[in-house]
Amino acid sequence: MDEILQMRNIHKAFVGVKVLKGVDLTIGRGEVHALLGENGAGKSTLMNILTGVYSMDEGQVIFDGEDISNCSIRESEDKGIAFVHQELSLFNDLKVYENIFFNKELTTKGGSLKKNEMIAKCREVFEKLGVDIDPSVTVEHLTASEKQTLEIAKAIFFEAKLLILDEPTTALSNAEIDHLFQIIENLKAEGKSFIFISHKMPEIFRIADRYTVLRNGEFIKAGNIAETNAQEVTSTMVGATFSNAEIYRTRELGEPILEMRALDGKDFHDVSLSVRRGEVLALTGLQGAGCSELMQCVFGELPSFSGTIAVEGEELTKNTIHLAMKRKIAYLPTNRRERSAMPDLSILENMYISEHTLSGKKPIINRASEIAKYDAQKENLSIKAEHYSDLILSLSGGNQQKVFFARWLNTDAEILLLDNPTQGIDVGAKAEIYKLILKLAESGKTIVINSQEIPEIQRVADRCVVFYSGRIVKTLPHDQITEHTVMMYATNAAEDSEE
Amino acid sequence: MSTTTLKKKNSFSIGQYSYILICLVLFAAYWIINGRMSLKLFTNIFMYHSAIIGVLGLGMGMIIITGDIDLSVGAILSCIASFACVIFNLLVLANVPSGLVITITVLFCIVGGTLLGFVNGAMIGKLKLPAFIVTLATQLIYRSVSKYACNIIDNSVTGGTGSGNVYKLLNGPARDGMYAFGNRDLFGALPYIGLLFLVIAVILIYISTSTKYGKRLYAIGSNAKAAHMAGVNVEWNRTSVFTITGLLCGIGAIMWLGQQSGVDPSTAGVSNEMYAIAAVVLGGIAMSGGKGRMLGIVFGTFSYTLIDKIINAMNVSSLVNDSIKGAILLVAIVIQVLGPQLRKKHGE
Ligand SMILES: Nc1ncnc2c1ncn2[C@@H]1O[C@H](COP(=O)(O)OP(=O)(O)OP(=O)(O)O)[C@@H](O)[C@H]1O
Ligand SMILES: [Mg+2]
Repeated sequence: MDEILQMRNIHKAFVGVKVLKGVDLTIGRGEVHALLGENGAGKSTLMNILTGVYSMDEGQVIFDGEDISNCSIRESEDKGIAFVHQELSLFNDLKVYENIFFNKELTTKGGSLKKNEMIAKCREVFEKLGVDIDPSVTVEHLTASEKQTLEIAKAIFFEAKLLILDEPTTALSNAEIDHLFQIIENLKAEGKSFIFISHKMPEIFRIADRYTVLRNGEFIKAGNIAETNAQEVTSTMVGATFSNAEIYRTRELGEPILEMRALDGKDFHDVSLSVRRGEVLALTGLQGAGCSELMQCVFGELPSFSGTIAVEGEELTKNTIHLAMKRKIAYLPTNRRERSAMPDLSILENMYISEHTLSGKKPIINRASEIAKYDAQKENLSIKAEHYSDLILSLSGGNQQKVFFARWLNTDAEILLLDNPTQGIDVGAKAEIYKLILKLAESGKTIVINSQEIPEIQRVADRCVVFYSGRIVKTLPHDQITEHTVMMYATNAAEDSEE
Repeated sequence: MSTTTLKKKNSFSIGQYSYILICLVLFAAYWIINGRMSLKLFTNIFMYHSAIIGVLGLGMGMIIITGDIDLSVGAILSCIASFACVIFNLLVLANVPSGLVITITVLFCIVGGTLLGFVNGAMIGKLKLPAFIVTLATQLIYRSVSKYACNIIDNSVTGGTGSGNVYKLLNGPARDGMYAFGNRDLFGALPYIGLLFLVIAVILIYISTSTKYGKRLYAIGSNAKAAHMAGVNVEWNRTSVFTITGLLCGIGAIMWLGQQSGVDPSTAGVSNEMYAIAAVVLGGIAMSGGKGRMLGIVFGTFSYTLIDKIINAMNVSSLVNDSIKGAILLVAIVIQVLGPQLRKKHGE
């Protein structure tokens, strides 16, 4: 095999905690290589070492025949390695082309920027990738998927030979994923190699050629995707035989607890929905169909709306986050880095902050009881963390997500609005979260979940409401939720075939 | 992604306490340059001379933790002290008993400071205007009002003499009471104003480490959007820190009147916002918000006072004072900021 990258016997410890214990990774030229492992297995850390973000304690990295062990970020970029991070790292206030050329600006001899030339070059690459983004727009106006493609375009631009995509699809809709995969296939044909990190099995089997599994910082197995199956890979990752058994059971539902009548906002129209106590309701639709905005409206984040929201029969005329929380509503947002994480705060502080805004009458923090609550949640959600006073960013992406889940469980909310809750969570933990959702529902909590992963919806939802451009097009009961039907309504293809 | 240090918060490392180290080094330097040290000198530096900047610095620190800044603290102090002086004198002229004069003056300072701080806070928190501009504007306004008032109010009330551009407390038992608070020591050793500063520091350190309110301030400074999504009332909490800082400026005004028995509105508290910021940064608090400890500000203030004292002891021309002060500040902050970075590079 013609190898573009060889990482041998990589070791890394953070303040005494061993995170990588002799990992090997070999990538062939022109292949898409899936790097697999549970949350906290060490995938992102390994990539951070490869690209010079962290230094390693021991080991060797050979890229394109050259020893690049412990190189700097700049050196790894120059050698042709591009890293598209799990948490996107674009500058929101800069324009698209400024982001692409950041630190590599084209200038005249006098030092002034060649703006037009940079913009023209961007257009060229975007065209080649089939991306429809205006290079002179500010990045904050882009959607999550556009930001993602922008990161990839940036990599292509500087002639990367190896692209690392760390969970690139968590914020993308299915159509956008198709588009991304098309781009990957095209680049692969040109001889570019990819390291692809994802927790979504179907994706991996669609796009990857080979795989490597890590577990607890150790190399477990590598092989050809064609010679294995999802079940086998999952068991290798988790260590034991992983059970994917059906866990859904029909339950007795209570009285309506959350009612929306003729709700109208900027991104959703004429939404009438009634959710019953103990129900698990899924909202789904293409990116921008309005599900997420609807949730935010119920949570008081979008103050301008018309129509009524009623909780336990009581109508909300004005809604703010605080009022919603007092009505025992919780909202777990998407985009963890921007909307959930407080990077300077510890894990514990990140967890208790929401509950504290409700219990402000007792102004003093009782550390012992907070720690006890944390320990309970840690157990409950199997959060993999060293110490509660570590900073939140010391956790792997998936474990951060679990802490934010814990943040809301900790508020004792009755109605949980979960916006893409399993983003970045590994298969094993996902199964645990599904179990947890059903357990919560059984104990009388009401759960509304926004997801584009239909298998996920199938496993937990009593009902699935499909949105198309801000309107409800169909409500499907549990046994009618299939990939095919949902997609049909979500793309509005069912319009003429059925009323 | 930047290579942030994610080391355990709980594990002890000298880096976290570098503000104490800097303070000790400066203290040693002062001792050497001055050639002698006594208990009197010690309390003079750490209590008498640190009190006012310390109190302003504590407020500034809370604001900086939330990711904002307040450039009006010196002007609030000067403005409140000026009008407090007028009220004091009016009461004395009306033959009000001295105990009551002092009580009313003190209350005025506290309420007045709180109000001015609230004005800042409402504009920044509620109306979401940028703190830098708002407090720059109110700095100009508060200071010019107190200067102008000094000019138009009769000398018999301002207590000034001659062309009368200053406010002075009128002589009498009430003034003596104020003076005693500003200049006397408890047990003959501990200056009252210094004690007040330390008591306030203890309260604010407690608030910042052990209350829900304190943690919210860090949350806002760390990621305001996420704090908002987590239910934190960002508008109100922002307003509140500016209000508390106003209150602390009011207390600073009382200390000032006690120490000086008067105010010159064109010099009192001038540049104090910068000194307060220096104390905060010397105390290891990041200007970007979300990080740092209130305890650091106490030591940061000490360090700042020491720098001042070192310059005095060196006996150089007053015209180069600020250059030396600036240079020492730069060195101290380089140690504070670059120290941890260097350590990180060479493996922890
Ligand atoms: N900067 C850091 N400081 C301390 N510990 C860290 C740091 N970065 C990662 N870790 C720890 O290293 C382990 C591996 O983390 P890593 O982010 O590589 O996991 P991952 O495989 O990418 O997981 P995920 O799928 O959740 O993204 C985790 O236990 C994490 O807590
Ligand atoms: Mg990761």
